Amino acid sequence: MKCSNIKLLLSEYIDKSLNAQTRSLVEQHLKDCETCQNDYVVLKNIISDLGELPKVKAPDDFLDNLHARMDSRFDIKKIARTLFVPFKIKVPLELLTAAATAVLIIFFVNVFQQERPLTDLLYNQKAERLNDTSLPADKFGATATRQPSQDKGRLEKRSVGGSQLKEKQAEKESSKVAVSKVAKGKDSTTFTSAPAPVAEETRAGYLEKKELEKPIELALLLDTEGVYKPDATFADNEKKDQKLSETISEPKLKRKMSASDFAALKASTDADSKTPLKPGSAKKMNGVPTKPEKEEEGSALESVAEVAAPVQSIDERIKAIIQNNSGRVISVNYDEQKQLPVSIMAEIPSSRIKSFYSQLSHIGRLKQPLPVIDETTTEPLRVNILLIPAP
Amino acid sequence: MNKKPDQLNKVLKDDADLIRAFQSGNKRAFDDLVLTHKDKIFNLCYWYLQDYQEANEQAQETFIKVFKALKNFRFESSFSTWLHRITVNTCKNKIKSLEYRFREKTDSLDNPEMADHFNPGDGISDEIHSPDVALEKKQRSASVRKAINGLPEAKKTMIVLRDIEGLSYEEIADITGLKQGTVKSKLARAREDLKNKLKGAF
Repeated sequence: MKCSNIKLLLSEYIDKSLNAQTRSLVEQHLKDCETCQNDYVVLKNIISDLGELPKVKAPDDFLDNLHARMDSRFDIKKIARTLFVPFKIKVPLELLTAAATAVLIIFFVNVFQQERPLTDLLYNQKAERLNDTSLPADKFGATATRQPSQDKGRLEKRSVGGSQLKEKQAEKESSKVAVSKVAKGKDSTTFTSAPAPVAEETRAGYLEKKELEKPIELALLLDTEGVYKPDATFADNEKKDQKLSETISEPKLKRKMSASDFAALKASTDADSKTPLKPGSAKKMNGVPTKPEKEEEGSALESVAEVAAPVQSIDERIKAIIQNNSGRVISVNYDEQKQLPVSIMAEIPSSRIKSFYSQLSHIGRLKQPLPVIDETTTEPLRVNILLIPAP
Repeated sequence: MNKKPDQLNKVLKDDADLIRAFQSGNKRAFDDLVLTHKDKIFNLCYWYLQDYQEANEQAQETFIKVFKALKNFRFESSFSTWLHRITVNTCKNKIKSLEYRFREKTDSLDNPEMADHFNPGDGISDEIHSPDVALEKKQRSASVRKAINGLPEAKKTMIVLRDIEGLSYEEIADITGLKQGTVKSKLARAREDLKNKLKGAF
């Protein structure tokens, strides 16, 4: 057997754990090999010495110290347990944290969405954001009209009676409107010089409403001058008109009662749009086409028409269109000085909005593209029609 | 003093009985277990860590672990084997700890004078009458201690358990979780290593 093998067996040989055969082999080798014999002696001495190494005893107070240590440790544990009692409801706390985070996220998302226009939210409109533009009151008078900018197809938001239009084109158009208005108005000086406080009030009121309801803004640029001025601008003609309406309209009203709503309205609007209604001709023309609208407004309006509206005013027409489209008028803002309607707020079912829109376009030019609307729903839509007098 | 052996006998009667007593709620039984095994465990810790204070710490730590785990002791191995296993693991963890390594560097245990400083086993050397023999023995003891301390942890475990504690291969296999054959070969190599380290000392 080789010395290297013997070396590995020496440990077991000393421990006397080798089997008899191996032990005899090792013994035989040790007799023959001096090196291995020396190794054996050294190793045996070392093992012997290891066995004789002093046994180190634990200190006498080992148990006491152990108790002290255990007590202190368990005291700490008790304290820790009392401290960590709240952590037994760890999961609820984590849930609470998650819930708080969720609330925060929802809060921030909502805050962000509130800044977006209502139309975006409701109709997934791309970027067709409607901002109202008002012409400066000091420049364009008490009506505080709105002027759309055609280039962008959107209106610029403006503060009441303050700022000027940015776009030149819009400014030109506006001034046209203003000039024509001034020319037609009875007291042109007041138009240009003094901003009407009433208009501001209605405007402010309107803005408040808008904040609350955010209706669809439509600017109706009236393409005929006559339609827009029956009441106030021709106050001096009122008496004549009244007489005229009394004589002409009543029989015709009765006559046309049976006609269908839409056809009648169509006829009326067609007639209106085609007819250049000048103060003089208005009297002649108004009688025939306006009757159907009055029918729609019902008997209440009939009586009103008899008393007050000889030439059907623009607001009444629009009211008729609104009702024709199963909508309802919410409010009409009048310029109290001029007795002119400034804007009409109405609710139209979204399914009828297109026909409403097309019918409106018969009265005047709509300066506002209609936003994309989900027509499948019957949800009523709020529409604010701003009336801009024709040049 | 006369009562002590009686008490010891009483305590020593059976580890299993004491454990059962402890498990049934008698906390005093644990004290008896500690008293029975503390010296053995302390000695193991001392030779493993070669630091009296550290040995005291780790021996106590071992018994605290035992106290915690004794409720669930299932008698799958002997209590002695289980106790040694816990001790070895506790000491191994201590050796591996950064704190201990740092201490090892700064507070040299290689210094034989350190060993002289605390040699609690001095009482054993009462039998040695000759001062020369005593001196030689002390020197050899210091050399052996130094050599053991220089061994890798696995080899140190083998030497301490077999040659210092005098445990059987079987017990060592149980404690370390190794096979007996592996224990034999590891022990042989550990002894060979120690022999090489102690060349010249003997």
